[in-house]
Amino acid sequence: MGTDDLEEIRKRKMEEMLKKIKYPTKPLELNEGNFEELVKRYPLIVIDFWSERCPPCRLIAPLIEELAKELSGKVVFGKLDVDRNPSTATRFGVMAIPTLLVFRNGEVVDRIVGAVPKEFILGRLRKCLDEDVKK
Amino acid sequence: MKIEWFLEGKNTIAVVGVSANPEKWGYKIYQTLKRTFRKVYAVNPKYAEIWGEKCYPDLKSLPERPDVVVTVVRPEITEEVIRTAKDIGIRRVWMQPGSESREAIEFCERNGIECVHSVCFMMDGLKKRGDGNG
Repeated sequence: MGTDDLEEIRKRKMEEMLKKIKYPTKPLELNEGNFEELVKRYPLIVIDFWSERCPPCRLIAPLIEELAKELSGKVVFGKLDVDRNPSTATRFGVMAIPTLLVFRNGEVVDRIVGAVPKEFILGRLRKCLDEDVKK
Repeated sequence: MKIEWFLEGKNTIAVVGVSANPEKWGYKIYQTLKRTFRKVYAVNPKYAEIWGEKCYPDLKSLPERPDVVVTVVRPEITEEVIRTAKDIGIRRVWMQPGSESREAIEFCERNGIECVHSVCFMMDGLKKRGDGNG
């Protein structure tokens, strides 16, 4: 069996696994009560730490909505209001907003701080997705 | 550039546009940063002091060169502030949302000043970290 065959099997297995999980097409609302459960439920979930009073957070909110739809089936998106859930934000060292934390299997694997373009977020997520396929 | 470098507690900060009005961001940010960073200077030519603490008219009047300048002023004032920052060798500027401008950002890029914009301080996060560190 060649390397290409193995790669194909990996991809197929990953796709089968992802099909078993029901993926939302909109960002989930996270809070201190459901945070742990949701970050562990999905293999790859991006949490947008935001606040209503933060203009850059409002700037990227539509991008997060778009990405949730476009990447449905691969990546789940969630939003956590830091004013209502300060202890979760502090626990993950969020000192500036917006901050996007990428969780793979419940662990933080990437952090994007600030209002950045959609392509930048996509580029960082592609790296995470590529790593998933290789595993 | 890493935003975390701006947020290191050992940094000396100058807040340009500090307000004496507790309702304004210029006041809230100054008070919050004071709880977190080693030394925070207030800068605003309108005041000699704010709530009993010395307030400096501009960056050149500060007793030491700050590691980071935070701007909480109108964009046209930020553009003046960063020119002074360059003159006195400041390498990091954090423009609070509303104080940035394309010209100010490009000036920083041209002159090797690390510049953060489109990001808000997580006020509660800073406060709690500051409380924990005393």
